[in-house]
Amino acid sequence: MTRFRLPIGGYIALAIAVAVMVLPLLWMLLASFKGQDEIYSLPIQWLPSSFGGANYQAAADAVPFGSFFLNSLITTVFGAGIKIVLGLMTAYALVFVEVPFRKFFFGLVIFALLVPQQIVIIPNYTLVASLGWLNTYQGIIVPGLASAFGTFLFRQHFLSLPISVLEAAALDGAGHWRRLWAFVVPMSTPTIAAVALVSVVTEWNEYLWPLLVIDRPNMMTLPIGLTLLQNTDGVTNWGVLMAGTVLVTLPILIVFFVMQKKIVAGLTAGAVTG
Amino acid sequence: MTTLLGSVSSRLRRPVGRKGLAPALLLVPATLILIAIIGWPLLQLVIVSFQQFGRAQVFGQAAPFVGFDNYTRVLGDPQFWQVLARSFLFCIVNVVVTMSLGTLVALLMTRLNKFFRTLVSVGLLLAWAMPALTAVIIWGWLFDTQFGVVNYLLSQVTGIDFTGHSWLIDPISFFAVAGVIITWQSVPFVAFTIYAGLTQVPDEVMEAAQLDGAGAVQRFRLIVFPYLKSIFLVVTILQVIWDLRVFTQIFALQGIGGIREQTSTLGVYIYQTSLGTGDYGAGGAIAVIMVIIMLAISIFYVRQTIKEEAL
Repeated sequence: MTRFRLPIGGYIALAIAVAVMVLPLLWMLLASFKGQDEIYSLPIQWLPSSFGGANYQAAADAVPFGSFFLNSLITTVFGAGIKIVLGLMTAYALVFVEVPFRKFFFGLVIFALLVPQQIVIIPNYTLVASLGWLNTYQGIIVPGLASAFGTFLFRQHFLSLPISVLEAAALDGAGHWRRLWAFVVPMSTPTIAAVALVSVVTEWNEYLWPLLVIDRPNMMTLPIGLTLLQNTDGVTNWGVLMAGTVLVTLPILIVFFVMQKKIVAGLTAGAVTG
Repeated sequence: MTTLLGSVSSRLRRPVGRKGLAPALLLVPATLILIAIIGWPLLQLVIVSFQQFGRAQVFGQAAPFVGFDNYTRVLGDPQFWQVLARSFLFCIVNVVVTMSLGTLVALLMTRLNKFFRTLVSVGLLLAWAMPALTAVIIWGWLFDTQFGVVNYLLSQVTGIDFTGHSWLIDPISFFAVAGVIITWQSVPFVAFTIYAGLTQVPDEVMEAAQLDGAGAVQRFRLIVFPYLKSIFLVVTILQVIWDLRVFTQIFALQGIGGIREQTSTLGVYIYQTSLGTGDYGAGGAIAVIMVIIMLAISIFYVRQTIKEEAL
């Protein structure tokens, strides 16, 4: 698309939009360094008097952040990882393999995309409880695997891949498994990055499901642990809570920055082909 | 041009190579999980919705079948209709605002140079990456009655004392705050996807239109929109589905200080009826109704996709 020059008003509008996007995050960061008296002060004190880590220390003392972090890491890595592998396999089969009932499987994927997770949450809860999976990692991870978003994006991307490469690989005797991992996957890194990011963010931020299946503090993930921090005493200690919030958000932001370039490219590839 | 969920029937890949167990091995795990996690619970849900299923049944008592009892009870409850109307209204407002803002940001992004575009992308990514609960906590605090930035700034700017004004106690302003949070987190996805689509509109067409004297609004209406129609459709449907089933933001905001009866949306209502009150039968009935509504909304799109797949 032709890049028309943006009038100055456009830049101002954009600046405001970006500010609205970023300011809450900035406010969170600033508050995490403020003392109780600086937060509960009128007129509002914008900057903290010092950038000490007292709130972070207090947050870490109040709740076991280390084990929250570990739990979140485990559930996110395994949840997102398995989701991506399953999505790749399903999409590969739907695009490159003559499967019977291909239409039926694709219909199943679309349907899975439509049914809100929270609707099946109660039967899933009974299922997980009857398996004895309450307060376990598999209890958090397994129900989350039924996600169709990745399969969709992968399928869409696979349709745009050059078929000749795969035909050549097949002639050289590469089986489906090898064709998928040695040829299709390397040609799909931006899409995989985009899906990986969306999956990681979803898993990391997952709130309702872990809240239901976990009630032991040592198994809690970060978002659930955060509510513990919110409820420890009567008066909300915003400084400590914000410090906790920063700790929850930081890892995701780091993942974002590392993968940023690939992600936008991946979304583009997934959104529009041809 | 094909889209996120669209079909590429003409380019449907012909299978390559020998057959064997591979297709089954590739598909079985995901299918099993879909059936176990979505199919089976959905079936359970339908069954429970026809049963008298309370706390006693959770602990193993037999659940008697009661026919359409739960459904008549739910449909006869004025609160259900209030919740439904509220959810739809809230969803429509959110989708319209999100789509307009997202499109606007995407259009602006096409006109920026690389540096500013990266800057905007990073801002969008930051808002997108924020966990929903975290976002609610921060925004909830910005709107805090006593020490919130919003009240403070409003007092400063207007000269009227806003200190102590509660944004969450009144349902309308509760939903305004919830809408701000949800829009804030949804705009990035819309903006990115539409921006991705905009980059595919051919330059020549736009230039030709401009030479013919088409203004910016005309160019958008006559060229950009038709080009991106399928993308707009998909994104709108996704937004409708996501906004209709919104849970975390409403639930968490209620925790900060809303009146539950006046602010519950469908997702929260199901949760309250089932786990809060322990009436799993009625909760199941509401959930089934919600699935039917979702299906009805997206049926047009699904049918089109399946039809194109069939070629």
